[in-house]
Amino acid sequence: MTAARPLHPGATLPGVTRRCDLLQAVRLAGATENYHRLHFDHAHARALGLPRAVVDPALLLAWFEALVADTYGPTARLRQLQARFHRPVLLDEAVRCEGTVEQAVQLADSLRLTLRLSLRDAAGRARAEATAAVEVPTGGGV
Amino acid sequence: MAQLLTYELATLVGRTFPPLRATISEEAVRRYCRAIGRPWDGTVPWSFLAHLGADQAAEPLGPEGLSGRPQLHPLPLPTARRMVTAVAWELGRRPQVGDTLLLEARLAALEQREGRRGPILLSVVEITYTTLQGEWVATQRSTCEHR
Repeated sequence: MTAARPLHPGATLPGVTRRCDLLQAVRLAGATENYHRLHFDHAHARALGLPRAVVDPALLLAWFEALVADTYGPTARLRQLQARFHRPVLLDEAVRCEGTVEQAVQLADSLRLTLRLSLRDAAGRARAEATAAVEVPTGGGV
Repeated sequence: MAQLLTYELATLVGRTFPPLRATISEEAVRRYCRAIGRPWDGTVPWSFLAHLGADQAAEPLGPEGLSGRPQLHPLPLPTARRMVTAVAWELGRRPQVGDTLLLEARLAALEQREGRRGPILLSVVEITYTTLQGEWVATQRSTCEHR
């Protein structure tokens, strides 16, 4: 697994396609106590000028976290995660969650990576972008 | 440009909100993991913290059925809608099931900008998560756009 992990600047994280449907949106509302109708009520969203309900940005952040966790495994330590939400992601809309390594700094027993992450729609437009700092244990070297 | 940010509102910056104390239960984490589509591996996702204590938040306010998220503390702003536009997390000791955390929030910034459809207010609320022993777990800064 170690050899496959992106550890050098320019390396790409294995992207994944994400999509939130109505069931997941309702599940998330219950699990997070966020009952904003914008996230599961299409009629309400249309009344606000949107095509349909939009994904709670909290889920977009969870997708970014999952991308880092799935790429670097349970021993990696996420230190920072900063996200900006540019445009809403609609329910049932597929977006691509991907990332690249921007910087790698060797610490005493780990590699500190700065990652650029994004959620892109089918046209390649960024709906959300993030930077993450993660420390990957190296046992003294990469 | 219309003035949304009055002197009275500006004096709110630095204001703290009543602290919350919340315990991370396995059931809540399992439920959250299911909701975000991840199998539970025994750890607590960092993003779970954004919702910790939400059950203690005030009842939804306003016509849109506002969020019960603890980071969206009610602010006396002259705007009808708000939207989270950015979040920034600094992460320390990983939380575990059974931990009771103290959530302390403050209004870190409030500023006015000109949006595409007129003036908007941007608020930044900072929440610090610590254990009851004072160990720092995480700090979250949420930026909201109010229009």
